[in-house]
Order: sequence, then structure tokens, then C-alpha cells
Amino acid sequence: MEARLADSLDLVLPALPPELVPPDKLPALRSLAAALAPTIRCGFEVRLGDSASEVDFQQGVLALPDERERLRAHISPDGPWNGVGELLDRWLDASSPLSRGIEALWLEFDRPPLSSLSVFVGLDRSLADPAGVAYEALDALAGRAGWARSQDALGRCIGACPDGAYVSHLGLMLGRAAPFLRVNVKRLEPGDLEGYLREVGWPGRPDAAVELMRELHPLVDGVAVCLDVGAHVQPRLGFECHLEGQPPAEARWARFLDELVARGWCTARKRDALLAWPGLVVPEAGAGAWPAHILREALLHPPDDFTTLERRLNHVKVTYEPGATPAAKGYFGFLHRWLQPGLDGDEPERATAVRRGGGTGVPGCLEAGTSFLLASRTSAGWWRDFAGSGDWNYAARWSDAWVTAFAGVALAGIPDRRARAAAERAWRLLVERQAADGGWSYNRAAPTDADSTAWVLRLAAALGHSASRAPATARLALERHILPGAGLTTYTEDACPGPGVPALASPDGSGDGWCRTVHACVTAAAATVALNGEPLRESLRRTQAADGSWAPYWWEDREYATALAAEALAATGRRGDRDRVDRAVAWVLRQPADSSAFASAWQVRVLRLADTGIDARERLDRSVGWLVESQDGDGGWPASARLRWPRQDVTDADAIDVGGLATRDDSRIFTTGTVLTALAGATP
Amino acid sequence: MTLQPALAFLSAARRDEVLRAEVDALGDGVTEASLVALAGRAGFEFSAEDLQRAHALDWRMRWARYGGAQHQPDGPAHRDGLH
Repeated sequence: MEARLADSLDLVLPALPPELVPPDKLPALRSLAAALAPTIRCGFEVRLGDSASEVDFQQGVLALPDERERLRAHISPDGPWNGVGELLDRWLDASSPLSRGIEALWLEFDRPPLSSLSVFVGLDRSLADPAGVAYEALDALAGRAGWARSQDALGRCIGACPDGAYVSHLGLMLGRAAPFLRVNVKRLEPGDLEGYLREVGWPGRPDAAVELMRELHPLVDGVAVCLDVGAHVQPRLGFECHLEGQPPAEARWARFLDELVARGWCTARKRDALLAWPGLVVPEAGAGAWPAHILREALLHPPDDFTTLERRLNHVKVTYEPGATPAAKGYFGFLHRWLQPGLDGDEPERATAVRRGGGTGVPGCLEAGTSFLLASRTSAGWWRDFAGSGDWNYAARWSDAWVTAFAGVALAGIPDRRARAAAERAWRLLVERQAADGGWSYNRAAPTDADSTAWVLRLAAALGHSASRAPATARLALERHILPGAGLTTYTEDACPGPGVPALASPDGSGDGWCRTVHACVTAAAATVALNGEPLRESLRRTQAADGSWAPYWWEDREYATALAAEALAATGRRGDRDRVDRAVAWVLRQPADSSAFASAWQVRVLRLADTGIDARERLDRSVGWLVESQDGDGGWPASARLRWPRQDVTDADAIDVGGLATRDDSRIFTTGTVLTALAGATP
Repeated sequence: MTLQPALAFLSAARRDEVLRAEVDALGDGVTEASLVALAGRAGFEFSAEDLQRAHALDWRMRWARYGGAQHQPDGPAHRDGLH
């Protein structure tokens, strides 16, 4: 039997509170879910204010290739679904403006089994021509005749958005006799609402609506304004109130719902039921069959990935209409999530500050920095960094293997018994983590990458373990990342990670940037530890920029790739390479000094390669002194390693407006390791 | 009771590249029946019900190993970490 959404809905229904979804609604929900694609990102919409028991149901699809294609294959060409199919076809067409313009699609079914279908299109917030994308999406859904009467008003709603605000969603009620549009506007501040409503032609005096938005705004993280748009903008407004976290950790949910109860817009029972909803559904013997398609995926995932269904609160919408009492609706749902507790996520972070060592100058810094790193490990001995937030957290989360290898290299270079023992412990952990293909990855959820593998090999070299078995297979793994006649690319084509979030997805699914482009920063890191370093050094010789630097792919600062490349070439002793190193030194001397601990530490490593020159010596002394002075009281250095993740098809990461994500080493481990290595080398 | 063959199949499917490729090849159209049939061809005889029970047990055993036995997967600690 073909997979259906009903398979997973059945697992969630036992937790569905009857206060929110009365039992007599369940057969209709089951019947609807039995006809829907098995994309597990769903929501319920319920009235909160009284005993009204209407329940609407939603299903969402993100701009990720598998999801869109799965839905496209599932829908039939009948009735309103015909328009959904047309929209999906254009969304999947890389040449269409919808390909990049749409982030998500939500199907909403009003009061199943009546199942009047509404479609909500989530728009990218950085569109150059939002009206053009909106019109094309609506044309696909209903044909121009189906919504033409709303075009002028919609154009005003889009055009009136002040700086920073944007139309985030467009809804079209396909199943209704006289369809109207729903227009959601995000990032509109309460102070902007009055002018915005006047400009779009909203009927009535806006004072009360503005006052309501002012009251809601401080209670939550964001309020989206929802307008009904027919031939004119309609009197009814909605205020969608969003909170990022989930209760009970996010205590503002309870305070916000208490406020709604106090105003009479939500019953106490429904408040309590909403607050009790968040949680996880996990496979239980005898508790219902886990969907076969997820069971299959679970077998293909690493053993420390855990299939779960997560129950979440989404938002509350307060509806305002002049002359009427506001009403509230609750939106809550469930989605499939791979839980990854194996990333040591449960282990405590360093809880207390580290005492600064007793020494002074560089030796004192090394002692305190070493203490910082030692105390920053998880109890198992891993270092974790680059946790990021928002999309970064969805796409990557933090790294442990790569960061542990890097921190281990830093400690292995410090003449301290504690540092050496920690580096050895890191090595043992990493050997246990080595993938079947011989490489290592950013964390356990990611596929093997050349950069992590290179840094583990550098750790092996620093500890004198290069001749052991694990590095031997790792060097072979690294060979698979060498592009013909060129340097290293981070991922191989057959193990290239998916984009994870729309911000990293290319319009046509191309992974050219991640697995078909030479990455100088990775090539430089691997050049001294690869099976045959000469092709990698040759790649570095070819890719040195005219100004003497090397352009990294994954880093915002050029110093990282430049220092590692210069060190790799300096080791050859060849005259031509000496010239290249000198050009790198000259480049560093032209860069601002002391802009950040991370950049300065890599500059120090380049300056140490300078043959002669008073300028380089003075700059080196100055930068070392600045690094000593800028050490934090707990022994770390301020987070300044700026890691970026270009969109998967981007081959030139320095190009303007290439999309992607970026974050810093928020745990300060990467910056601290970088500075320690630089200072250890600077010690007389 | 044929739980042991089902558990052995789950373990083998994660380790054996050939079996893993066959699981992968089932694609989105996979069903309990097709998984059970594939396992049968590989020498693991069990029912669909056994597969579900084994999966739940395997999940718990892996959780005890990787997730930390002291933590409940549906406890607040994990709810907090999932946004």
C-alpha cells in the first residue's frame, strides 16, 4: 500500500487533547490524511475562545527537492488540485522565477471532510520583484481570471511594505465560490501599521487595530499582520503571534496564553491543552506501526540518528474586526525530526570560568588558554563549536569531530603534559569515530568531508601516529576528494549533503559549489598530510591570488587559507615557492593589524615564515603583543572565526549576493585553538 | 516469537553494504511487506509485527548507547533542544 500521511497521524492522535480536537472530528481527519502525501509537516487550527469545535488541517512542503517532488507525484489533476500541480511544476522549474521565489507551500483544509482547499505560498523575503513572483504563483494556482479582481489591492499590499517588512505568505481560498486572497506581512512594526493600513486602503479607523498590535507585540517574538484581500482590502485583520521556542523552556508561551485567557479570548482548558502539547513521539512496541517509509530511511541513517515525531506549538492568531470582540485561534502540529542526541547534546557545557594561569606574557597566555580548552570539552572529551542559531542550527548544528581535531592539533603543539594528554584522548575518540570510508565528518550527522579528514590527519601527524592504520585509510579517503588535475573539494559527489534548509538549496539542485569546486582552504590544510602532497601544492601555486593571498571557500577571513597555503609551500624549500611565501607575507603586511584574534593569529603564522625584513619582525611582535593583551579573563579569546556556508551551487564564495549562511565559533574553541598555535610558534 | 531475526536484520541492514543498497532501492514506495520480503530473501524470517516490535526495541537499545541511559527521549531536556 502506498505511503500516506495517515500512517504518521495515527501515531500522534493519542496525544491530541480532546479540548482542542474533539474525538468526533478524528474520523474526518483520518479520512483526509489517508488521501494526502506522506510529508510529515502538519498543523491543526482550532478556535480558542469558546467551546467551538471546528478544526482545520494543514500540510506543509518546503523548497527541498524531495518534498516537492513527492507531493507532485501524489496529487491528482482534479479540480483545485490542478492548480497546485501547475504551481509545483513551475516551482520545480529552475528557469522559473518561482524556483527561487517560493520557500514553502502549505495546503489547508477547512473543517474536514468538507475539505475546501486553501493554498498558502511562502515567499522569499529578499525578492527583487515580489509582485512578479506573487502574480505568477497565483496565475499558476487559479489563472489570472481567478484572482484578477484582487490584483490592484494586492499590488498595494506589496508596494506599501516599509523597509524591512515584506509579504511572507499569500493564501488563495480555492474551494470557495468567491475566492479571496490572504496576505501575510511580516516585520511590520506597530508604529508602521497605521500608515500601512491607510496606504493599502483598509476601511475604517486604524486606532484600535494599532493599539491591539502594540499590546501583543511585546508578548512574543514577532507579529505578522494578515489581511483579507478581495476587490478591496477587507475590514478583518489577523495578528499572527510567533514565539521561537517551545514550552516549557520558553516560559513566554504560558504568559502569553494567560493573557489571552484573562481577556476572555482563550479558555483555561484550551490554554492548558496547548501548553501540554509539545513533546516527542518515539517508536513504542504495541503503540502503532511506524511508517514504513521512515523505517526504511532509519536503516539508511547512522545508528545515532533517531526517528521521532515532534509535537510543536506554531503560533496564535488574534483576529480583529472593527466593532467585534477579538477572537483567537491556536496553531499547533507535528513534524518528523531526526533526533541526534549522539552529538553529546546532553552533556554539560563548561559551567565555570577558568582561572588565569600564574605566568605572564606568552607563557602565561599558553597556560591559561590550555586550561580554557581543557575545561571546554564535553565529559566524553569532545570539543564542540559553531552551534549557530536559526537556519544554521537546522542545516549544520555544531561540529564535534572537525573542531576536536583542530583543538587537538593546537594542544599537541603546546609543551604541557595536560595538553598532550587531552590531544591523545581526542585522537582516540576520533579513531573510534572514523567512518567506513576512512574519513571523518563535521559531526556524526554529516557525510565524510576532506577538511575534517585533513585536520584529523594533522592531529595524527602532530602526535606521531601517522603510521598507524587509521591515518593510512584516511589518506586514501582524501584521494577521493581530489578533482582531476586540481585540488581538493570538500565533499564527493556521491556523498554530498543535502541543503537542509532553503537558504542553502540551489534552484536546480546543483551541488557544484560543495563537491565540484576546488576549495583552497581545504587543499591547504591537507597539503602536508595527503598521500601525495605535490598535486595539492601545485593547485595552491595556481590559485594564489595576484595580491599574494589565497581565497577560502568556507571562511570569511582570507588569513586562514593564506597561512596554511604559505606553510605548505614554505616546507618545500623551492625557490619559486619561497617567492610565493614572500608574496603572502607582503599581503599580510598590507592587511589591517589586530582586527580580530582569529585573523591576527593566522597573520602571525604567515609572518613567522618571513625570511628577513624589519617590517615583518615589528608587525609580528606587535600582533603577538596584541593577542596576549586581548585574551579573555577565562583564558579564551573572543569568538572571531567566521565560518560561512555558501549555497550549494555557489562556486565563488566571495561573489556578492551568493546566499548561504554564516556563524562564529560561539564557544570560542576555534579562535582559542588558533591563537594558541600561533603563540606557541612565537615562543622563543 | 521471531524477534531475534528481525533485530538481526536491522543490525545487518546498517552494516552490510549489499543489504543496505537493497533497502535503499525500495525507494519511497516501500511498505512493511516489501521490507519483510527483502529480509526473507536475505535469510531473516519474521512478520511485519515483529519488524515493528524489533524497530521499537532497537530504537531503545541504540538510545541507551548513544543518547545516554539517564535521559528520556521525550523528556524536557530534548524538548528544549528542538526548535
